[in-house]
Amino acid sequence: MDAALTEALRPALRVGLGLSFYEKMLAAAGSGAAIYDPSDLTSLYQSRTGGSTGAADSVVGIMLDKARMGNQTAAAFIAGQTELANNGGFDADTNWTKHANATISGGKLNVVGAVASGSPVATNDAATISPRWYQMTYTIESITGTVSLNVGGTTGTARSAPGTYTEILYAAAGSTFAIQSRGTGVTAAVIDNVSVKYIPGYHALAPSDAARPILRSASGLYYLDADGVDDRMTIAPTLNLGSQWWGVGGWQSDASGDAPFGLTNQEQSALSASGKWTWYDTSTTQADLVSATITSPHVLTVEQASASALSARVNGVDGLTINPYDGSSPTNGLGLFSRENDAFAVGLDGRFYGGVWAPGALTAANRAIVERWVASKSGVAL
Amino acid sequence: MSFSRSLVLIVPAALKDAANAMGAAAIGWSGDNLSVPLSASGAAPATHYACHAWAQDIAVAWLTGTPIPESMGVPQANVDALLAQITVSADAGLAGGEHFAAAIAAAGLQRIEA
Repeated sequence: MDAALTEALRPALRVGLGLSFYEKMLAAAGSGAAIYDPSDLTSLYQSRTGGSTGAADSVVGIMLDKARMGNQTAAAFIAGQTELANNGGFDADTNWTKHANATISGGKLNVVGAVASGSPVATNDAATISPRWYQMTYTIESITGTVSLNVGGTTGTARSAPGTYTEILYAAAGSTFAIQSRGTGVTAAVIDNVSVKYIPGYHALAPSDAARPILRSASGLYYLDADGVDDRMTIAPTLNLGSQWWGVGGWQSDASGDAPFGLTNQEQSALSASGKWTWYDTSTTQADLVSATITSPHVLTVEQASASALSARVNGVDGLTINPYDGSSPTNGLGLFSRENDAFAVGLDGRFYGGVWAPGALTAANRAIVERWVASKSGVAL
Repeated sequence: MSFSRSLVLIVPAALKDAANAMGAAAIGWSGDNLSVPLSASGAAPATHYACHAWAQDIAVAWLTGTPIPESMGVPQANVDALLAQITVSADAGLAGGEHFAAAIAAAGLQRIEA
């Protein structure tokens, strides 16, 4: 059993053995869930390629899903992941397919002549799997020119200066990782200590730098503040919740705020705001889900028991059940802060304190546990 | 570093690609940052594109006249030529969404809703 699966199953294996509340929440959410917790600052990255982790009043380019990380911070989880790079320390002239102008000697990868931009300087023989997220780290001891990481066809940030760089990259396709020449090419470099680690989960990525929400902190709570202009996050790999699903989130909609999340590329498959939280019941009309105010922090639970029954609860109190509109042939997949999962459409101007989404049904007992956890992140009483 | 500066950029449609490219070169922004289509009537086609972002002091400085260091490799003349044709609004004392609404209204533009 691999380490990630063992960690994911750990809460279930320990049922009845003195689980922490968070472990009970992980078990209640189930193995197919996505869990976002802005209060774990190590699960947030300011850049869309990793780097600095979350801090109050800093933008958020990546928010990691913690559902498969057990009862620990994202940083601790990633640190404990298996090292995938073979001979990442360049201790021997093995495991790397090198460009003609690259050598491995002295325990380093050395670029000793021009490598054209776009060409690999060296490719590791360990296969990566796509689509998956990886944390990659490497040290550039000296450089003339520009290089970057490349994992599964996704290129990292171009680097032209010495330093140790850690990046979080989504490998959408492809099966190799490499050091790649970039910009106008590289003519000389000394590189060492390459590390590659798999980060399982459905992680959230802002599609551009301007689309990054900002992390705020107040009264010991943390939340992502989306501007309602262009902020949104896509989930990768695609989290298709199907026709039976549930989501529990800590939300606040500001006066003009609208959609906290959408499930397809059609605006009707989304939670919306019209003074109250609503959902489309026809292609052009929306039905109320809850009657409570939405402009203060609250825990909102939305459950779709079947294609014809969608219900909601606010702060643990039952709302209404509607027959949701079923669009034709949508492109499924969770997206945050927009009605549509592939574009900004009447997105949220408001706060996200954390939340959990999963396919399938939610039992009353598990619902109570998940709602209690989200309430603790949102500062509200159930 | 704090991203304390509320920033709105409004760019003529013809300059959208150039502005995205300049953003990548000068302040390291990637993706399609100018994703909000605008027009005077609020109907398509878009005559301008815009964004709202939270930015660091240095990015706002470079967008409001402070020269970009030569080491960045971005010719200042190119930056100046682009800045002369776009609208940069920083720190209007409003929340992000309200800042954006005020900036596009001041430019005589409306958002084109999908």
